[in-house]
Amino acid sequence: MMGIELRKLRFQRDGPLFDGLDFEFATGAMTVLTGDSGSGKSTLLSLIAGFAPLTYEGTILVDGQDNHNASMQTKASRVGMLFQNPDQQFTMRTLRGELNFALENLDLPADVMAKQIRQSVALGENDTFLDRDLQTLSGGEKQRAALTVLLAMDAPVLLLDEPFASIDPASRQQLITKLGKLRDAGKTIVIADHDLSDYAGVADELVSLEKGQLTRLPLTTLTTIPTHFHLTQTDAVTTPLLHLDQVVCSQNCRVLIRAADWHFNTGITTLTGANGSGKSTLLRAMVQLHPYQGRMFLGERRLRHRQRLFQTMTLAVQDATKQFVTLTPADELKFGAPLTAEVRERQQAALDYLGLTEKQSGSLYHLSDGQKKMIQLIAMLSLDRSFLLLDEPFSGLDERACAFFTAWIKEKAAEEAFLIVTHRLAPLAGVSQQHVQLADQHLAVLGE
Amino acid sequence: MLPKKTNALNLSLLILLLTLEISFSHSVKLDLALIGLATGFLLWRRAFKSLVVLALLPLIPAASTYWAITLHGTDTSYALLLFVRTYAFTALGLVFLIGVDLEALLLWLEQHKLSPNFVYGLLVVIHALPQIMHEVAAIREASLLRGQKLHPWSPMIYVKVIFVAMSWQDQYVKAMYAHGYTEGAKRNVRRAIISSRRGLVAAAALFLLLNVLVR
Repeated sequence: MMGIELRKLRFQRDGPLFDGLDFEFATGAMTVLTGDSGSGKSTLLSLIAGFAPLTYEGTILVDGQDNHNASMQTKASRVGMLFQNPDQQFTMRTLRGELNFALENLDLPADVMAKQIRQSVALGENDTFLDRDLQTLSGGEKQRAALTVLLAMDAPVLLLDEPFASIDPASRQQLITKLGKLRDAGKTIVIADHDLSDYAGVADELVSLEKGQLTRLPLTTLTTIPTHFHLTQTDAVTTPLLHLDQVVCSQNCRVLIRAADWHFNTGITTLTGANGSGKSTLLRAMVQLHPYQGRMFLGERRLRHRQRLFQTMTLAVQDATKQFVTLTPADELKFGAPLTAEVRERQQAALDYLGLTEKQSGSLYHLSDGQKKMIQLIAMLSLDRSFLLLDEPFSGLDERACAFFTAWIKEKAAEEAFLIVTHRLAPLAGVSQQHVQLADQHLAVLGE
Repeated sequence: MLPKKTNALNLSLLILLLTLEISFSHSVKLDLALIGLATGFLLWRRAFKSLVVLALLPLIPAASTYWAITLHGTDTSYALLLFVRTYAFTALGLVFLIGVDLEALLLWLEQHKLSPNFVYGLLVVIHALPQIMHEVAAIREASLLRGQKLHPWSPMIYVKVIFVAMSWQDQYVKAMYAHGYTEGAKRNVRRAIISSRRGLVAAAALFLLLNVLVR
């Protein structure tokens, strides 16, 4: 049995991306594929899967067979692909409908279909949302649902493109463990991920993609990742900034947050909590875009839903595409009140450093998700506000970009307060001054 | 596996037939009866928002036709007829929207030889509609977060939504392929969908009853 083999792969994307790439992914193993944003990880996975109309030279063998001219049906029965964006991957309304759709596409006999659906649902442990409207599921649940469909289709090779971008650490660990079990059952798995935590002891290979070349890295790279971060500085001088007074915040009739008397301070605050605990909802309530009971004060002033509020504080939302108002990066960076020459220079320097200068006049939608996040952060950090809330600013960013934005945040923190919700704590280590956790509806300061 | 019964086709046919009938009939009573039945149906399905839509949406067109005919028309009995007819059309439309399971209807049509490309393409669009609505709200919010207010009539919103939807198209196509969909390939059906006979009889009975009792 063969896994995935690349022979003399050549592919052009604004210049040659892969130029005679030879590589063999280990069969029946879990390979973690890492690399900077825009290095071509997604493209490589798309080429292997063959679901997008991309023209390349060379040969890609999956399970010993060349998929190039195979029908989509055949491709899908050989390779299962999980996409980065959880939203646009279902045709039907419910997971049950989607499972039927996928297996009907493979033209399997009805009794085999029934068996495979039963097995995959048991394996995916998601019988609870089998008949729920897929639109109402959280990002993590959608990814679990999509994985279940792939399990039912029973392809020997699974490709996962940044599948955990919007998933909390607990579900992430759970999913990685689950993927480990699938590997034990004989599947070949390739996961593209920036974040290498949680793979130690599960992944069999670590491969880095850099300048169009794949290189095996030692597995010890995974075990030397620090898991504890300094997010609190005891000597930091911070003062109360935003006061929550008897605030109760709920969503879909479920109370998420109760804050009787709570102060967010100036400086850089990290806010953590499990997925679905209400962190994003709290940030939206703070910028008055989500209803809540009680009162909020910024300094002495009561916060209300007014356009003026956004001159003082604003929010960088989790999904970068939901922050964009215009169609190109250049327009996006210019949008709003005119910027000073100094800020314009700063933006240009950031674009140069992150390799986005050439992409400025193209469409925002042709950027990789990491690049979208970069444009979003440049735009938001260019604003002059006294309190900036950031929801998952580091998702999809490589370490170099993380370091760049952390430095920018640190520099601005002299005059601005930051409240940062993130699952990735490493970039904030040594920068964050307070660590607040949201658990069981309550906010609490965490010490070292 | 037992076939799944659906009333989607029966209800759609009944609505189509009634729409045709009220387009030609001059019976105010029939229109009122349909509005009453539809209100009952929407109450039963707890579609309270739709009731508000039913009350308000046809108000301006209905009232303006009424006034136009009373002021300028020769036969003022038409004024009331057109007023209630506008409401009856809206009521039937809302019953279709709330009552017909489009997924079941389209799958039934697929099993009766409608092209799967058409069926699944339409299903993707139908299921993406809430996301598109969400996108409109998101753009207005995004602008607000940057300190600018976009009004509902601002063309920027709609240009942007069209581009967003177009960028989704590629993703949806890839996702359908990843789940094994192939144009023109043979597909098996896991569960046959049949149109309920009892439902058809009930729909026919309701149609006759309406015509006998109300006209």
